[in-house]
Amino acid sequence: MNKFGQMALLCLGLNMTAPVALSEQANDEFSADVQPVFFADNVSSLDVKYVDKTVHLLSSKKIDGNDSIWYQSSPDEGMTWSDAVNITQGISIQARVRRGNDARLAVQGTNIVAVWMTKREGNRHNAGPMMAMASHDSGQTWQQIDTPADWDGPHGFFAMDANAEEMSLVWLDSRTKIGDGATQGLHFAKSLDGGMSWSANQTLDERSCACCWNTAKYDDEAFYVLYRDKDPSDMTLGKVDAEQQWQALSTVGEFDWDFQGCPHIGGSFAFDSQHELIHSTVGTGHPKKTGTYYLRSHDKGKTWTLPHRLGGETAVHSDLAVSSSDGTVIAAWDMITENGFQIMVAESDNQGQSWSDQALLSTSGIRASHPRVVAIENGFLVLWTEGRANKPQSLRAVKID
Amino acid sequence: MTTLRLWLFASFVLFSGQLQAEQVKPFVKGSFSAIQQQYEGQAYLVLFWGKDCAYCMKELAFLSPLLKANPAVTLVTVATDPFLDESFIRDKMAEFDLAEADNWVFANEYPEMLYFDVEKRWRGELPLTYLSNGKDIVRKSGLLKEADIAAWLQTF
Repeated sequence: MNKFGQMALLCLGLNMTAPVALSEQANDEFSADVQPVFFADNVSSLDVKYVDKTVHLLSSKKIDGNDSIWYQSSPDEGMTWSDAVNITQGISIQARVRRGNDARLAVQGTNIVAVWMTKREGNRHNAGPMMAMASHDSGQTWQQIDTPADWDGPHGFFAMDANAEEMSLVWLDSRTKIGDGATQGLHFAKSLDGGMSWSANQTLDERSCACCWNTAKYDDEAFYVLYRDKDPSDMTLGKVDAEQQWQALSTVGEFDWDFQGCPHIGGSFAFDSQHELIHSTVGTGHPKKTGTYYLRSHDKGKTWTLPHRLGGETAVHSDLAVSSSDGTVIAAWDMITENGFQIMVAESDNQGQSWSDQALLSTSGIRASHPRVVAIENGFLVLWTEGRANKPQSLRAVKID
Repeated sequence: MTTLRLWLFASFVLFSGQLQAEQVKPFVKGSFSAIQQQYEGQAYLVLFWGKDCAYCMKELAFLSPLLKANPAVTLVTVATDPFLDESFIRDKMAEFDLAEADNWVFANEYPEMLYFDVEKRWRGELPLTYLSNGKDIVRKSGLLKEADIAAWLQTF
């Protein structure tokens, strides 16, 4: 790490004493420059996208006991930010959001859509139907839109993305009855008018993890979805093609984890169009393979390399992003230590063939979890929340060059 | 006089047991070891559960009749939602007819520190059940099969 990076980390109060490297093929020291770029209080959930050279940030806050959803953007890779806009200003909402079941956004030109789970007292877990808002002026003004769901029950664990023509959303709900009870499954809707109207819902998988976050991204015309399946509880990658046909492509990490319970863990993936690769991180709680793993696919998600462990057995929530300019991959994850969750980071400069040592990115001794990574024009942004569990937390973002 | 003493003693025992059942104890670092020490030599079952965990509710639901048929086995429950309201826990246990369980609640705003203290590999997946015959302890991650727990209970 150069002096600038060390200075920046010292300013943040970060401890960069390198922990023991646990990655199987760790080689170089993590050597990127790290610069703090953003901080916010009272944050309950976050989502971030980098579209058209703009960083789009969606967060939910609880202020004086009232829930609200906020949007802001950065035109210069996180160095400066627009004023935060309370997109639910004037609307009384009860958001049932937390890290791992965050409010999510999609960006398509000047159209932005945000969705989140509401709270409905009396429902099981007080879980309510999704609520959605849209902006058609790059986030300056917002209005509530019709719900994308055509089933009036609780919806959660959203993932959303857009290309030039369409915007797609997946989520979990339990509309399907299998056996003697309702079963949480993966559902899909698409909008062709910037979120103002949505297609009839399509069930992509009748049975999924009930409580794991999903990840979804467009690659050209195909909408790829990574979600935790059932029997076994491994991660499945599938895609909805231009004809709206769903195809389950592969299991990302065949751990054969037989688990009837609530893992609360999803995965991540990113496309490297330059090298025709898909990079992914997934977590498993398989008793003999517990941890977070990196894998890559050379054939658009049909097959995957062997899993490469990132961090130790206690690595839990992960994300990654790939640079469109040189294919550098940055992975970040949180890891349980006796002091609580800490954010770790590692990079690969050879398309995931090998990884640097892991480095501690968050402040030692402060609980920090659920990192998100986005590739920007010149580097990456890593964002996470820190503070006590089940309480509004602080959002922190750093830029990695 | 003897009758009065016996009545007073019985009332005390009943009251103490009721008090224990009604108390929700704070689960902190070292509590899992303390529970194991407390019930050493006895058959017991420790269930870690969460208020939003549907599988945990299923497990709580089928445990009650099985444990009623096997009163020698103590149920210890640990709510993993930090500082979950005690009345919620008591109501939930009453709902499942498990009011006499030894109930605990995570008392740390950093729950993963307690995961780590219980077992270094545990990352918060629920339900998590430990079964002890008083000598050996077995870890079961995920929803127990009703038939498996029934078979285990029949060994006592």
